[in-house]
Amino acid sequence: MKEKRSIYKIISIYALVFLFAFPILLLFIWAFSGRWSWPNLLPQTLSLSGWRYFFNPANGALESLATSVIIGIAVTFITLLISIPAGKAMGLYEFPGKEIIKILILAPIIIPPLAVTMGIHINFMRLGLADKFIGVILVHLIPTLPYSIRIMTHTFEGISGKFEDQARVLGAGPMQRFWHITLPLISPGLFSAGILVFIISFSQYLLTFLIGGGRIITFTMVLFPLVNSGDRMLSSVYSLVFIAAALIFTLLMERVLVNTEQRKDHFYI
Amino acid sequence: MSRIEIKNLTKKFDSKNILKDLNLNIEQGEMVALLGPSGCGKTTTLKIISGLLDADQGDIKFDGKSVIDLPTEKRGAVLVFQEYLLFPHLNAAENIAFGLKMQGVDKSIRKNRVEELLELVNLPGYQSRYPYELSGGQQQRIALARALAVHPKVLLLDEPISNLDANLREEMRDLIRKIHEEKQMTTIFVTHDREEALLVADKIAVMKDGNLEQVGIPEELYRNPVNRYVADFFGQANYIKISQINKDVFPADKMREYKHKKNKILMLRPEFIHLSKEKLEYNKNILVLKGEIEKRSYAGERIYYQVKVNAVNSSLRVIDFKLSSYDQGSTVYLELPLNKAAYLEN
Repeated sequence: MKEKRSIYKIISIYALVFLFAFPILLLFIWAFSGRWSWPNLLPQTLSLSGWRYFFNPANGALESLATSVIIGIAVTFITLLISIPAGKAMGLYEFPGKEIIKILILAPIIIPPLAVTMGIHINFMRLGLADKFIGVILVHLIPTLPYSIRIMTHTFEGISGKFEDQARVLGAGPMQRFWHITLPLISPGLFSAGILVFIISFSQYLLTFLIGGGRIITFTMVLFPLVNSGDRMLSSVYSLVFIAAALIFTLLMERVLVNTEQRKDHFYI
Repeated sequence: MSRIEIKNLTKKFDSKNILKDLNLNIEQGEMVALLGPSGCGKTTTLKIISGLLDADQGDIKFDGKSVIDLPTEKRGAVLVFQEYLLFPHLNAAENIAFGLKMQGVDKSIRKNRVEELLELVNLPGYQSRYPYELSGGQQQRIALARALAVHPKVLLLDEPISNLDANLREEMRDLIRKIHEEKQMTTIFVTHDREEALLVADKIAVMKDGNLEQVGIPEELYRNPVNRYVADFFGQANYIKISQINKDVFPADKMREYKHKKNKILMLRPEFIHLSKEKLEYNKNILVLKGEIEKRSYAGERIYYQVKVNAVNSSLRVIDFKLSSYDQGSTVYLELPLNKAAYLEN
């Protein structure tokens, strides 16, 4: 019985690995291929021309990548800054209208962004935020905040306010409690939320396009026409860079936020 | 270490009275147990003393100074929660030194204090252990050390023993008692276990529905409870309505005294009643009643009897340690020592 189960386990693990790894492997092959025509199973020639194109400053790929990363980091920072107090209020306190606020927080995920973007665009123009860096950052908060507040709400529910109470009776003031107790305890939640937020912001196309008005060029805006035009080699190069950027950000966040001792604890989420 | 005065403390949750006009004085260095069933307001009292909850009315004084308006962090009343709540991201030494670090105490002093406290709670060398590496009993002891580290004015323990396994309880009880005797810390601890309260506390405050029923040393509460609630809380008791006692059986000298107690109830613990085959000679301090054994239960070193007494119209419980053997249905004389009886309001 036991052996049988472990066989199923192994099969399903390999199936999953294959499902995730195979497309990436294809991307790799495409990114380095020269001529690859039907019905060959592998490319006939290999070439680095796609990478040369990518690293050529004249094509603006690196610049757009930098723009995306800066926007992503700014969005992540602002979103987390809002989500900590919001998550604490939603997770620990009871107040009238809590259920309604819960639904309102989720509203941006439920309502398609396109439905409201036009209105936002007009207002941003009035406020002088359209076509600007800050405008793009602000509009990215719309799809990111619901996820991040939700994650932080559950994080606070998980740790409860008791550790803060304990720190308080031991003589810790409000700022000390936040730095020494709350922040380390919620860091796994911040990590999960931060990665999600960064990736959502990094993958935004439509919102950036509309609010940025074509002046703020992010990485997705460079990638999209390539995929659209069917240049598989170039879009594979850009996609690989896209994946690498998200991965590097994840690893950096983990380094900063997750304490190695905490990973063994049952509070680790 | 302070003297604590609690005056007219009142607390309501959603118009339900949790505490009603609670008054309690605790001397410096005294260990008091708040004893009562769950929901009687004992934990609420601790939280109000620590400042985590606000009282609706009343005052709390440490050494004569009101602290009711001081925020928790400045009050110096350290609460040890039932769940220990060790900070999971800090090791034992960092947990213990937490309060000192917040005060800005020098690192080397902190280190020495941690060492000294780990010694006190019998966990020397545990500095670098993390909470998840410790057993429940060890976590409890670190939590205790962490509370003691800041030299609290009063130590508040919320059910310190009830979360532990039975075999660890005695150890923890002894440790709490030992620390108390060494440090002479004013301590208030909450428990629903009467034995725990009797064994550990200097003084016990019995609570019921937000009221303080009686405060006293353990022996006083056992021997002289003020009402049936307290009497029942501390063990089995026999109750006899004085008005029901037949005049003939009364010691003559007591008659005058008992006239004033006509409306009261006489309470006597079962182990104080002595059974005898022969009727005792007249003694003014002993009430002798004739009874018939209804039930006999053997329990090793003691025997439980239930004796029907017609003179008072009820059955009395007797615990006999002399291993006498009276058969069911046999007639016996019960000797009730009146100096060991308590008189309760009806």
